[in-house]
Amino acid sequence: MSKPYKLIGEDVYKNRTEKINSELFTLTYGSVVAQLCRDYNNDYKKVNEQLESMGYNIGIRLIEEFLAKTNFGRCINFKETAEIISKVGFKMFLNTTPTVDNFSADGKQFNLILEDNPLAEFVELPDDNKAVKELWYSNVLVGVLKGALQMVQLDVDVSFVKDILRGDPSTEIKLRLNKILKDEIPAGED
Amino acid sequence: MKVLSLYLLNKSGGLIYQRDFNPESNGINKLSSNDYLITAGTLHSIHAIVAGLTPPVLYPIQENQTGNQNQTGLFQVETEKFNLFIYQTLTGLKIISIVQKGVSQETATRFMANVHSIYSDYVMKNPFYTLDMPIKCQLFSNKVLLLSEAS
Amino acid sequence: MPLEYDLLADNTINKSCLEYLLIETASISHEATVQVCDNENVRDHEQATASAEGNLTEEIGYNIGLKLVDYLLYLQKGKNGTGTPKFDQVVNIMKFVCKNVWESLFGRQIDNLRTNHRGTYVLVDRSFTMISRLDSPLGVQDTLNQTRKHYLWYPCGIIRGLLESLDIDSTVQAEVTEFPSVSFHIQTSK
Repeated sequence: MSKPYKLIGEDVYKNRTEKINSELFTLTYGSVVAQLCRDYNNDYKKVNEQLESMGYNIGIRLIEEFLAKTNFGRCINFKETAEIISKVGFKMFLNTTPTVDNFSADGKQFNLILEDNPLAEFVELPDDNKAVKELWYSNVLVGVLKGALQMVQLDVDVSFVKDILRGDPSTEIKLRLNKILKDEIPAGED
Repeated sequence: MKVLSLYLLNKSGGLIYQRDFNPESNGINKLSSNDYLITAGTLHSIHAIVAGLTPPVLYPIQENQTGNQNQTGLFQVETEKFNLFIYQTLTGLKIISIVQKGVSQETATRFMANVHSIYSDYVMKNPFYTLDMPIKCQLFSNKVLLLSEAS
Repeated sequence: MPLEYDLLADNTINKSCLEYLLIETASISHEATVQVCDNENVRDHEQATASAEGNLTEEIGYNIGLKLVDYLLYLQKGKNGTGTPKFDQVVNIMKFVCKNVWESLFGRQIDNLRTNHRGTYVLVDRSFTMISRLDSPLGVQDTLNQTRKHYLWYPCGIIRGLLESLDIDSTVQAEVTEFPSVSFHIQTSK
């Protein structure tokens, strides 16, 4: 029986969050990325790392808000995790619902396809040939997912595989479960 | 409903927040900070031991919707004068509330869920706060006080 | 089939996203300024970082402000169908900032606008949302100090960028004496 995650996500977003215009967020994020590129002298690898690190710091805090507002318990399997991330997590914060795709046979890996990415609306990467090959513009999302999942004892490798800004047909993030941090699971859950 | 005291523990059992509400009128004595730390650590350990003791036969079958992940660990302590409830989140944060007798489990759980909400709002969004450290945010304290009076 | 783009569709996201992003931005501005100092071989790190940090966040705000006016004017037009606000006098621009800009960015209007009619304007927001969660463990005085050092540059930059896009040169400084009330002092050439 699959739960109505989509409805839960929409309900939480509609009734339990304060909303602002996404454009302001897009502009702010754009400014931050641009500033980082300038300060690191267009060393895009460093910019990617910095964005991921920012995302990680955000993710470890954001998870509490997610849990407080949704009251979700532990997922039975990684597939459930995928559903909740896409239909509730993303909806609740970014008001968008990516599609879960390419679920691996061993149940440990999947891709998220973002049809619309509020971070990158109307953005064009700089025209030097480097950015298109090396910069992952929305890399902060990678850090957020990694940090948030770590706090619920899931060690997951997260990375971008495709980005529309780079000329790819879609924007995709790959999530691979390394292991469940069994030692860190708090006592008292069944 | 009358809540008497609130304790917040991080995932390692360290005390990060403690507060008594209306201590004079409720007749609560102030302990030394060391005593509070020991109390917190003890509760954390007992909670874990109880989780280990619970036979699998008693594991709950139904999904609970309250957000309290505390299924098999120490959940409730009843004495003549007060009740103590433990609420745990997926991230290992424990919220322990000591309430007057007569306060139902649902009310206490709702109170603790609200504390969790305030925590995620005022502590997580405070850039000066480092995870797992003692909470010294005045804003958080004020909100918790308002919540305790409202309940 | 005509391409319809509805700019007034539900382009909202959770306010928490921006809050977390700004917290991280203030954090990394320190690291990035150290990087900039390294890049430019600045000797006196301490001194330089203190002032450079503010510049970084202010730059980010400035870039946002530059682009904000057009977007807000479009939003306004669409919503009430009335004409564009009058931008003939600086005082009217300030009113626009107080009402429309502040409302769409921060969800509330400026509480008080004062001017000496000679190029100086003071805008007071008695409950500035962007600093409402700040609470230093070292007490109120430290909260105020930290707020001044790191967290007020962003709105100052926004105001400065916005005025610049309307052809007004200005310097903007913010002062906070009673938390969370912030007053912005704008010095313009006109």
